Amino acid sequence: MTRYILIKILRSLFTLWIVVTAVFFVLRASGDPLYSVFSLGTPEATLDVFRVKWGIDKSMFEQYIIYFGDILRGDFGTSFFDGRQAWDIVMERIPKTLLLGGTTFSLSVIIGVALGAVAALNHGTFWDRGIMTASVASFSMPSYFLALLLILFFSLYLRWLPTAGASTWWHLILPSVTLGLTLSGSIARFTRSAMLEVLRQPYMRTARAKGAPRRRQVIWHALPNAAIPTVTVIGFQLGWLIGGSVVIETVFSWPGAGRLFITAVGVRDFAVVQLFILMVASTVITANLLVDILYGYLDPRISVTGDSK
Amino acid sequence: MSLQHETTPATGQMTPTRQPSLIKRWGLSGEWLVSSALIYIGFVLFVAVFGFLFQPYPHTQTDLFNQLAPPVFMGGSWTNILGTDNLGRDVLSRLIKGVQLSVLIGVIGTAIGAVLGSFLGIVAAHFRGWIEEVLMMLVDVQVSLPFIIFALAVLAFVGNSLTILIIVVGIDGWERYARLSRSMVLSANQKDYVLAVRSLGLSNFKIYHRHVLPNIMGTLIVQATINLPGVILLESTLSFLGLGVQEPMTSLGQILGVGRDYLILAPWIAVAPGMVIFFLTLSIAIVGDWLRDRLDPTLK
Repeated sequence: MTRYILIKILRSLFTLWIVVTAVFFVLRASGDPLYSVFSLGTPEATLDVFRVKWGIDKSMFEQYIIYFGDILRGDFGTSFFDGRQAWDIVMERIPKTLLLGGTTFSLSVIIGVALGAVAALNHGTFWDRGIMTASVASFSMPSYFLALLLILFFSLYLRWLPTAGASTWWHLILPSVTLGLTLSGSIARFTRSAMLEVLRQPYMRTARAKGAPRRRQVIWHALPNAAIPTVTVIGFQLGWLIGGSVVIETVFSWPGAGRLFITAVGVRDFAVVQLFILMVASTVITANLLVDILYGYLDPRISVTGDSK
Repeated sequence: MSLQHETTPATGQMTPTRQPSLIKRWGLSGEWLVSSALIYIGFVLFVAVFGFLFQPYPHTQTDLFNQLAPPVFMGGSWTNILGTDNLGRDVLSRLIKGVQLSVLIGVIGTAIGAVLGSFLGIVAAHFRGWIEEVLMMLVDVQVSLPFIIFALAVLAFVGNSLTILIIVVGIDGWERYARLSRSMVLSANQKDYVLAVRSLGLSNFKIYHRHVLPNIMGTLIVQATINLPGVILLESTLSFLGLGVQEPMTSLGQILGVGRDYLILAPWIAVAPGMVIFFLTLSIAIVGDWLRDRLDPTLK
């Protein structure tokens, strides 16, 4: 088991290294970043000063070595635009992103698991079909379009909720509901299939046979067992959640890291974009690693070499 | 609590990855759902190919005396059935043009991902060893970064043209085909029919082209159908954020991006393309599910 985990960790680190390297070179394949910062006709002498200052006067390979060394020392470079540390710029946005992401996540787990369980318990009935249709619809819906529809109805027509910003708790409702609806659709599907599987197990028959009340059977015996595989599968959805929040933060002008990324990408701010991607990749890789290890514990038959994902 | 503890090993065996099939539970009554989905997809394809014949105005033609005119059912006139946008451009004409480009990018993008991924998967399964290791490592890399973030960065930094957009959108999802075709080829290579043609001395190309590929094609096509909605959504999201299709070209997502700024004054600009995308991806998802049940019971 230790060997299995160690190999997984090494693989994850290697994957992260490839992501960092690939992003570094792809972003620089676009030519001189100075031209996106300075207007045309800026004297070459001025440009040269900034080339030296930002370390882009050296060859690509030298820059890469320096960049990589800096990362290992915890220095993520400075923004080309306001000269602040990229780390500070990204970090001050993280709390808002975690607030939105955390709310979305808890919301969709509660809604998704509840709906999935209801669908499984009413297998083949109207409720089952209705919930599964809603779940397919929820991930066919472009999230930004759903956002606009909710804004139209709740903000512009009913005038209940604010459309942009993050100053009060009311501002949290629309973005988290928009993101959460899609996520809860897929969680409902996973929960339903896990639950159907559990309901067929012998211990459920035992619970029925010993006369446990229906509610106790479901809450005490079925749900905890269905929850384990569901939670591990939800771990893999994290990447999706981060990608989705980039879009939703932009639509609702939510001052989180995702919106910062869109802004930074628009002005080609290397340090900020690279740091954001590094953080996202390490978060997703860590989540996948944890899920993998969890699976390994739950099912010892997963072989060391097999890619269980 | 003890009961729960005892049963933990049993849960470890479960594989919740198998998605419940929507259609199977619909039984016979699901036929109408699939039929209407197919009809809608056919209609959208028809508009994409022949729509230009019915397009009332050029999609770039502005009319500054007729800005933000409402559609007919909201009290507008019949000259602009679905209303006009902020520059007085006819929404219906833009919609037809947008469907054309969105469908084009979606289909070509899906084809790129399917061909690239399946090819790499076959290569991995054929050569094994370090080639397989490297390719599976690339799959890990692809999975570790939400694709939309990568796509946004590439389009903003490397530059934006229709070709780059199609390639970027096409890369999305290649890893699913790669995994699928790799595992299918690995198992096919153990099967009698492959062993037989191999012992007859056929070249590798002929074995894969004539014998293995036809056997795994069905599953790959079903996978492509399941991926198509995601590709369409990706392009529309990128265009919505302003990093996808650029003016004067237009796609559904790009119209929506314009409509977002006029949501209060002219909600129809955003709602019309949004509805088209939603029902298109929904229909393809329904048909994909149905195909999976029909053609390929082995696919998850």
